[in-house]
Amino acid sequence: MKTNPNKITLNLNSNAEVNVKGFIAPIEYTQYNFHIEWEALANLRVAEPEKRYDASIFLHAFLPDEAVSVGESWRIEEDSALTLLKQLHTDPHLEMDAEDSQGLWACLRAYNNELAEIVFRIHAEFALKGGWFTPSQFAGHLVIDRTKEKIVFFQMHVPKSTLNFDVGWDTIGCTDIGFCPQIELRAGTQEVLRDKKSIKSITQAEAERALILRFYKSEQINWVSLEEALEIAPAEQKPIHAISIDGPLADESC
Amino acid sequence: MRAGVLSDEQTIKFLNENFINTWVPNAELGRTPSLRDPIAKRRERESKTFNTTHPLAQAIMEGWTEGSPVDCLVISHDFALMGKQPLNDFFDDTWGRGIPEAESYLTFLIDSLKGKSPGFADET
Repeated sequence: MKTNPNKITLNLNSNAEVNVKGFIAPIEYTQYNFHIEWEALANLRVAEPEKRYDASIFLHAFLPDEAVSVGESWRIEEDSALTLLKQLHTDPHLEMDAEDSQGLWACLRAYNNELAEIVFRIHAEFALKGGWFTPSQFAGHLVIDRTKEKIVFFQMHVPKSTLNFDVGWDTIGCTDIGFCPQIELRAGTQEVLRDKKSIKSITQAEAERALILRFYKSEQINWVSLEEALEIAPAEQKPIHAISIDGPLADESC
Repeated sequence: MRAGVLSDEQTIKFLNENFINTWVPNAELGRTPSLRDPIAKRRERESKTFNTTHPLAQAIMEGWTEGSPVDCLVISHDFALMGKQPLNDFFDDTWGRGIPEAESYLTFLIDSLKGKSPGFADET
């Protein structure tokens, strides 16, 4: 049987255990002060600050069933992802009533003979008493020691963009948007990646682009930052199409 | 908008062929009064800045319609406003006239490029 030399098979020792720490910091700001006036939001904290998992949870959640090449993406298994999200909040949902894009996707970013790095993106929300809380996204990394078949680094977090969550308070029938400095699950250390050379890799930005295209068709538009548009438009003598918007276009905090 | 007109094949193609495309959260430009102070404090703490004085940011702010949560703008390569479309008005107009959203948005973009200055009718 022929095997594709550009593809690798990923595996984990199911008997191993992984200790995962969880964090939710107090919300720093919201547009309409929901984080002060709404008790459920004011008291939003991590459900379990520390938890041990069988590595099988990560195996089922994040590893592809078949051999994959760098840049290739695959669906994350829902039940295992929910198990992990429950460490952050007791009532996570992958089906989101108020949002327009759902899903869980992972992508192989890099590998060498020793390590493989998976980048992933999950859209989910938490049901709160009297409403819901939707983080912009859960972005993550999983680094696997290929020879020992064990996890050396895991991080699943909500990026620290200016606004990184959307929230709905059903009791008063209104929504709000704001920033929480830390919503994160973490195990191991990223130091393992320092000075490691990959045999094959794409950049973090390329991996994130491969993932976001799975969520939003509008990302097929060649968006650039405001600063990039400021430079490119005069250089190319091309007009600018600009959207000024209350919430981000590229995640679920909008 | 993201799942609607900005996901339309023809719109995507037209935008990529004819424009430099960008978007910016209103809060970054200081448009949301209650968020100005906390965002400013955070930027100071993190030693980050967001330049709102350059001509592109100024053109965007000039194109804002009061009370509009989303403004779609066409701006020339030398940063002059060519067209503006507050999104709520766009939806009201599109639904009112029974025109497909994608077709209506394309008309806005084309009219802007032709120098018809859509969105400026009430100001002339």
